[in-house]
Amino acid sequence: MISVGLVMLQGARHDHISSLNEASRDLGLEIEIIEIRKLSELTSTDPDAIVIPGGESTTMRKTGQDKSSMLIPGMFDWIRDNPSKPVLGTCAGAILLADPQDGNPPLVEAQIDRNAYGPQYESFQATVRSSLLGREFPGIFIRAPKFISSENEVCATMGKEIVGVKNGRVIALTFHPELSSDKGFHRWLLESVCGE
Amino acid sequence: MSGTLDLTKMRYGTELLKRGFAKMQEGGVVMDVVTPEEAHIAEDAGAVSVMALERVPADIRAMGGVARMSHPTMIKEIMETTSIPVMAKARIGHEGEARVLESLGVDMIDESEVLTPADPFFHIPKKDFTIPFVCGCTNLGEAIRRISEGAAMIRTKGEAGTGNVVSAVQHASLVAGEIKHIQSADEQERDDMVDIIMQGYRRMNDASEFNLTLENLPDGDTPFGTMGEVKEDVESVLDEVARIGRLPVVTFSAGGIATPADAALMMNRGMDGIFVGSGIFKSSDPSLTAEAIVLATHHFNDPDVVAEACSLVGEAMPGLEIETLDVRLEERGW
Repeated sequence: MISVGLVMLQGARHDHISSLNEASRDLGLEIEIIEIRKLSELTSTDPDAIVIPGGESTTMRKTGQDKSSMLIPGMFDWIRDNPSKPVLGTCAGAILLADPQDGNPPLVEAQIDRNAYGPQYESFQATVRSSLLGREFPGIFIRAPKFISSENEVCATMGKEIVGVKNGRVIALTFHPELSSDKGFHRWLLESVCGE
Repeated sequence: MSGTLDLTKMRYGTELLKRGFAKMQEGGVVMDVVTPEEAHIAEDAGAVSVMALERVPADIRAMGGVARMSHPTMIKEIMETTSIPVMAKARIGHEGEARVLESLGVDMIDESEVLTPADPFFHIPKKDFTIPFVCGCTNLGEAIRRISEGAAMIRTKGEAGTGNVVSAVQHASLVAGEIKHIQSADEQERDDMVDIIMQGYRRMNDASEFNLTLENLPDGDTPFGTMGEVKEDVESVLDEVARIGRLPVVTFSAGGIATPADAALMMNRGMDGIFVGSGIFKSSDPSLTAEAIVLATHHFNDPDVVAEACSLVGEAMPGLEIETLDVRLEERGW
């Protein structure tokens, strides 16, 4: 049984849950998804992997830093202390990983620009090329951030733009794989728990 | 955008992107604001979006008169002030206002009963727009009509500007109960439900002094296409609801939510998030009230934290009994 912590600061949850369930069925793995709103829920359950969904990073920093939650910065320390555990951050989740604002090194070393494409009418779908998956992937970009540069491995690109960065087992994507019918990145997360 | 991208392969304004935007609001609080200063307070308090409008519902209720879309200058100022998404309200059926809002670049349009309706027969054909819409509902049929017209997000209507949560609870309970009903319905019952939902598109028939029957007009008889096409869309949404056991779009609660406990109540009833109108900027300390409602929405399932959120706030906005109202906003739209 693989346990996956779903960080519930704010943002799309239902689609990450259904994506994880579908990926686990594809792989024939049993998983348990744990909803995490507080640091105590993360440390007491100590999941095998975590997903940080997107939403609004300003809201997520607020709900995460509240003293009832303390997930921020505690979640970042947990990731640093558990380098073997895979992490998937999407959209605003990627912003938190690249810019944790806790005085410590970022979880992925990359410059990220928030809401870089403009308002909702500039949100778009476009094909992404992923070196991690070794193939193309349908990219869904919603008021997305943009990586300006990366010190880490680039694991997804769109044209010449960096849209995915990988640092060890931490992956930050500026798009929303959970909204796509392709579960490649969620499969990667579960497969990474199992070794490689 | 970078010139190296193949722009011909990029797609904008798809159903997936519209519904996806709404999904990014999950677990959040959308706050009504009437000035850039209020937008700033809302963002600092953790709002997931702001709703730009001319007057909060409590003031619309008190002042009376025709309530319209906000002034473009004000909406632009709010958009310049805040980094979170900006939504704005258009009148029911007022495609003209909706096009102005789209041109201003707001992130989502609320086709709202809080404003004075512009079209007594039809809502806005929302599929024709690049940006997504949120619409109110009082029951499942109304929600299905709006989704089949292209709404990417649904909210309960509640009774705005009252600080009274009873109507929001009523609407949420009806939608939930009616979804269970449709899941257990046989084919005949399901067809009857479709017919009842379609009645909402025959208001012009009812108003005409001749025997006007939309079904008999050649084409383009509704803003959404022919009545046959509308029926197909309604059936497809209804069947999806029956299959998945919930609305196929993000569903928020709105209308009368005034305290952190109100927000927690609605989240515990299965809502995906909260709209707060007059409840914040009509309270004694808007900044604290806003923070407390965000906290209670986030930790809705932990009564200790909701209690802490309730202790943070001072006096809530004054409330109104539904029975004493001159105008029931929930009755606008159908």
